[in-house]
Amino acid sequence: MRVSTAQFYFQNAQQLSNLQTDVNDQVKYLASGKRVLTAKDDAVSYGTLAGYKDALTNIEKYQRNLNQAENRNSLQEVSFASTEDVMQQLKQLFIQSNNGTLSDIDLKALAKLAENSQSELLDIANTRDETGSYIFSGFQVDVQPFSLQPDGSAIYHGDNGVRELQIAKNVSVATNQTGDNAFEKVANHKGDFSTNYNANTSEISVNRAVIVDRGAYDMTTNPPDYNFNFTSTTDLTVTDNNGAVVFNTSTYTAGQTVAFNGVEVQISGNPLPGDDFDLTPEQNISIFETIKKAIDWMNIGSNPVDPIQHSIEYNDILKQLGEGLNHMNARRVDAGIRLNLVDSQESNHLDAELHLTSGRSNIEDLDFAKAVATFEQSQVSLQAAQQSFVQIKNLSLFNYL
Amino acid sequence: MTVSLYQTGVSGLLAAQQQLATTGHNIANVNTEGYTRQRAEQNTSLGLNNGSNYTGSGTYVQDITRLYDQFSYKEQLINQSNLGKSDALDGHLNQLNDIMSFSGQAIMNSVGQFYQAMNGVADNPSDLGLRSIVLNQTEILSSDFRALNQNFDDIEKSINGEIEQVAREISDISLELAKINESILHSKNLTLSGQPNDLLDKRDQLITQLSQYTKVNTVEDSNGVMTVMIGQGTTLVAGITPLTINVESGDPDPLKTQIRLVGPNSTVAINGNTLGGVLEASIEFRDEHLMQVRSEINRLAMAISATLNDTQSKGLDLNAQQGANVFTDINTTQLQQGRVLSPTSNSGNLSAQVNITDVSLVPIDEFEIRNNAGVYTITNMTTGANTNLGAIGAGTYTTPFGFEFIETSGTPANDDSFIIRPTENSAALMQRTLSNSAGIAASTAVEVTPSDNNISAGEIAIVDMFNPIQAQLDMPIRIDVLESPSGSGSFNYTLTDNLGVTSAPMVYTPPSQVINLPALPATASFQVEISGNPSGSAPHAPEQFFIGDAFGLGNSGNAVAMALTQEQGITNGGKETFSQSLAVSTSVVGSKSSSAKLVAETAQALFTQAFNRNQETSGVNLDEEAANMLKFQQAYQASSQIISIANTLFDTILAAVR
Repeated sequence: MRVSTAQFYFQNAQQLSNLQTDVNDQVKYLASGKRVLTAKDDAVSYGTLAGYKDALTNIEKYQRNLNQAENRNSLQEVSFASTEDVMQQLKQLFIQSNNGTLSDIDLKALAKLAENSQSELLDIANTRDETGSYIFSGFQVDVQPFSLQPDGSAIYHGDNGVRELQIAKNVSVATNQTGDNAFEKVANHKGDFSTNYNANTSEISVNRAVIVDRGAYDMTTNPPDYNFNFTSTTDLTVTDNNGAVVFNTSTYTAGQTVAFNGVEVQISGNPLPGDDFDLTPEQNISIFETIKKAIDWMNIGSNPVDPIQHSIEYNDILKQLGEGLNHMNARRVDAGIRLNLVDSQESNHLDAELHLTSGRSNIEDLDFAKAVATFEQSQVSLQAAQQSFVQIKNLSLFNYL
Repeated sequence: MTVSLYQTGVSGLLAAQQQLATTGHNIANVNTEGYTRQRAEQNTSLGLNNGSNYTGSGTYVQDITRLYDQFSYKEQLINQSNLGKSDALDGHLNQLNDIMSFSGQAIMNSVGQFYQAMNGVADNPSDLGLRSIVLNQTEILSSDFRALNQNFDDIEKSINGEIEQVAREISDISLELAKINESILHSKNLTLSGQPNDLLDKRDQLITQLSQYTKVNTVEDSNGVMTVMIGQGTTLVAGITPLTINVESGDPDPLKTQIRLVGPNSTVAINGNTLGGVLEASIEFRDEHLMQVRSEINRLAMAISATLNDTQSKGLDLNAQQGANVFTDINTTQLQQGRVLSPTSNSGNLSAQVNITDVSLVPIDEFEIRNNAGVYTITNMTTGANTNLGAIGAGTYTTPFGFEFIETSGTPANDDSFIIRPTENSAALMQRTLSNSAGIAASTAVEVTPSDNNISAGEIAIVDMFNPIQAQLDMPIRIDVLESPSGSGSFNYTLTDNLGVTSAPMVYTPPSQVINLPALPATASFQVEISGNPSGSAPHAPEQFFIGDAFGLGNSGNAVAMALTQEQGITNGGKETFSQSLAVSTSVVGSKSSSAKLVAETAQALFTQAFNRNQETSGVNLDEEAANMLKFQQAYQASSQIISIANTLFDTILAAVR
């Protein structure tokens, strides 16, 4: 096969050029430390690589959100821990005040202490976060949730909105608790009704008044309030708001469960004729309402007008304070549960991140040992080609003529 | 005899001289591109009969021929075209790959940053600082898209310039070839024997150059005049008549320039896709690869704009106003009109526009809508599938591709056609339209609160919002759901509106049902879905759901919804998220680029082989020529020696007769 001079030079130039391009490519990869710089380098894996990078970006986003969620829920947990303390204190004060030897002045002093606890609780309910937004106002973060009225009651100005943050692909976590849920929806220890004693000479008190069967509870036919009237020690008549009789017995025994219209009522104590009280529907009682009642109770002093009623009210208020304490505890547990969720998601994401990063690195990162070896090899090939070219170009018959 | 000895010697001398001249010519042209080595063919002169035998009378050079193998030359031409085409395509795709990988990466980063900022607002919606970060990111995102679009524009312009340049070169070559053909014809006519080798070489050189730009075929007639055809047989040089190539603006898209063959009396359009060589590569790259990528990026820009604008409109901003568009609306008049291109060949006067109705269904293909005897048919230019749209004059036509074709004014003539590009200009015109950071609609308008007394596993959730301001005014609404009779599996629900009026019971069929609220005859402002089995306990105790005004500075429900769109499948029938869509586009370009590289390498190898085969016959080898030089030099010396001997013989004869 005949080789022309032009062909010889053309081929050599081509080979040198190819080898140089090789070396250049290797340098590019070594300098960046990546095997896949553009989609051309490995089009098949590029899609997977992009997927890994996407997932890693998402995890970063979730971690940012987790951070925020943790901060907010921690603040709530701390706040509720403080409210638990306040409620404990209040309960102690209230128990202390039920001492017959205390004078008016002593009681007034205790009431003052209770008022302090009340403002402490109000302060906590009006907590603001680091940006100045109220944390218990729901969505109305610029409006103070609770304001104390002159008569000692508190009104809620916020709403019931709960904000959520996305912490994993299908998982969201709430980042606030609303003031009404936290402070106003304390369960009524009696159940679904509160009592209003019109005449009570026998110290009977309602233990439980619950709607057991909502289906049977017909408020249109027999609307509350329900009036209980004992005409004798065994004669009980219950009438609804329209005056219709819903329950009537002449064989009432102490502790008997009175059932009517889907409602069950249990009264403790032995009734005397003339005892009369109303049941008003009240499923939840605001904690501030309870505290106000406690303060008012203490302010009555050591000589109440109706000692029996006073003592029954004491029991009611004490039980309700207990409910309040439980409620604060439950809210704190709520925040704790969310913090748990945040924690477990965080460790999930850390695990996923590890696995994704190694996946990404497998595709994208350069195996330095292999790359340096390839680079050396390309370099040597180039050198060999260059040197052999120099040798061969000298071979010409014209040199010998 | 001495006289013939002189002649013989001189003939040898002259022959050797011509040989040396030819060898010198070869050596001098060792580096001339396309040079075919020449060889002087010697032949013996006829013997002279001197009675008893024939004595040879020397030699003469019969012809100086080119050592030319037309088959290996044609093979080289074919491979040269292929190499030209694959090299050009490789270069262009490499550039596109670089742009997509780097600018595309920038867009992915901007999208990521935008959603990061959005999540910040979802956490703290009343913070104006976080909101302005979101607006900044939208600005960056839209300018990234515009910049990428500008890159594509620049590439298109430079390719068009390249095509024009190549067309000019081809025309120049054509003129040159015609001139050479003429010279060859004349040189043959002067009955000079032998070939005008250097002219032939020059012609071959020009054809080799031409073959890089397009596929070339040649036919030589008996006079040595060569007819040159390019592409699929379009005659470029008809003997001594040259035709030229012209580039003119495309119709209806002026940037899709077309090639035309210009003859002495007429011009003819040439299909660029069959031309081969650099021309075909450039046209293929511009009309296929670049357009596909551009369409994909446009669609992504459209999807992002539409999704975010949509979600904005479902919420309320800091001032309790309905969220305004963050990006340019995808159906502005300018965009709608820009999607329809009318060729000048249309004789009717219809002006039309295209309205996008569902971004997830919009494909990247081009469509053609044609008036076929009073009925519009739409054809997908990539797949060829066509659908009947209906008779002309109906105003608006829906298509199954997520857009509507709207007749704005005028009527089309029969056979008028329109090119439809549903995604056209979406990236170029993408702008941030919201400038007030309070305008980000982070808050939802209404929310559903189930009653604390609900006992069953049923749920009502808001699934769509049409008019958040009106929805607020329609508040509050209460929905009571009851399984009646209990355990029967048949549910009904009642709606109590904001005036306290309760509707008649309506049927709810599990497992889920969508209801528009408020109910007819009022205009629906939002939509809820009842799901599960909300049985309730009795007619007095149904499951109750209260829907109320949820606006608040701290309400981030809509911001969360906006942030969730990052991971929602939106494009391509709802299967790809934004980053997936971009990754797919980039991978496709990357794989095209890497296969183009392989094709180019193969083409290079094939060309080298063909070149080598050609050079085997036609190439100059300096060593060979050096040896030949010595050979002919010796022959010259020997021949001159013959003359010297003849002279001596003559002197001897003269001396003898003195």
